[in-house]
Amino acid sequence: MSADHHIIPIKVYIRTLLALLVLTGLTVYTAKCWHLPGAGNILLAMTIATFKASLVCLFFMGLRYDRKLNVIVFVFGLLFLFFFFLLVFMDLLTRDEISIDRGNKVPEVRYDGFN
Amino acid sequence: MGQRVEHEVAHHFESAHQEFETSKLGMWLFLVTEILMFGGLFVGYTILRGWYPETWDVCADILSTPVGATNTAILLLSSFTMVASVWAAQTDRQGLLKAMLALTFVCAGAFMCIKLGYEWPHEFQKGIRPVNKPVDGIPVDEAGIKAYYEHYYPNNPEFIEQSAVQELFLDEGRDPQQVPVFFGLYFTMTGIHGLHVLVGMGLIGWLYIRSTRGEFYPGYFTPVELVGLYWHIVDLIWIFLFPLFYLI
Repeated sequence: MSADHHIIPIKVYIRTLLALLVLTGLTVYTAKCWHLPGAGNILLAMTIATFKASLVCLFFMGLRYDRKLNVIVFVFGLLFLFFFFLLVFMDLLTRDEISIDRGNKVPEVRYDGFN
Repeated sequence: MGQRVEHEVAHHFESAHQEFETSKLGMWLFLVTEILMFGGLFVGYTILRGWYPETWDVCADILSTPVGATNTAILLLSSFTMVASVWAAQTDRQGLLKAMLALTFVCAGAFMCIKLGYEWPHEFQKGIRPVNKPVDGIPVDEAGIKAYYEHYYPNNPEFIEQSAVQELFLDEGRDPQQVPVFFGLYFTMTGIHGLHVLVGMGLIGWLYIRSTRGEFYPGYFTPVELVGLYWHIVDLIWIFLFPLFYLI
C-alpha cells in the first residue's frame, strides 16, 4: 500500500525549514538595513517572499513530487491571480496620463508613487 | 504499537489510492479558491498603497518587527512539524505522529496568543483600531491634524510626536485620515488569516484525537495530508503578509 505514495526523506523537510528561517532573517535584515532607491526594497522583499513561498509549495506541499493534475490546478489559480494584478496595474499606472478634458495623452503629468 | 482502526475505502472508489488522489485534488481546488480570496485582498492592498505611499512609510514602522518575525518563525516551524506528522504516518511512527500533531497545535496556539494576547491589545491601547470613522470638514493644517489625533488617538501622544509622522503629516500637510486605511487593511488581512489559523487548530486537534485511536497508518493518512496542505497555505499567506505590513 505504501508503495502508492512517494515518501520524501525527512532530511528534505529539515533543510527546507532551515532555508525558510534563514530567508526570513535575510528579508528582515535587508528591509531594515538596506535603503534601496525607488521601489527597490519592495521588490527585494517580494522576491524573497516569492522564493520562500516556492519552497513551501515544492517541498512542504510536495508539488515537486505530486501528480501533474494538482500542479496544473494550482498554477491556473496563480495565473488568474496574475491577470487580476495585471489589469489593476494597467489601470493604476496609466490613470494620470489621460486628460479629463480632452481624453488626450498628457505625458508631463505623471504620478510618481512608490517612493 | 497499540490498536489500529483499519480504514474502509468508500464504495464509489476503485482503490485506496484512487480515493487518496481524488480527495487531494478536491483539496487543491479548495486551496485555489483560498488563494483567489486572499488575492482580492492583496489587490486591494496594492491599489491603496499605490494611492497613499507615504502613509505606508509611516505606519509600517508603528508595527513591531520582532513580534512579526517571531510569529513568522513559529508558523514556519509549525509547517515543518505538520509535514513531519505526515511523514510519521507514512512511515508508521505512531508516537512521532501524535507528538508532531501536538507540537503543530501548540505552535498555532502560540501564534494566536501572540497576536490576540499581545500584539492587538497593545495596538488597541495606542488607539489603533480596525475602523476609525473619517472626520468631515477638518482642515489639513496643524490645528486640524492635532484635533484629529486628539479625537482618535487619545491614549497615544507619542504617535503624533514620532518625527516621521510629524514631518509627513504636519510639515507637509498630508491628510492624516489615510492612517486608518493602513490599519483597516492590516486588521482585515491579518484577522482573516488568524481566523484560518483558528480553523486549522480545530482540524489539527481533530487529527490528534483520531491519531490516538490509531486511525492513521501507511495505508491511510488522507486527512493528515489534506489538513497539512491547508496548513501550508495558511503559512504561505503569512509569508506575504509579514513583509507587506511589518517590513516595507
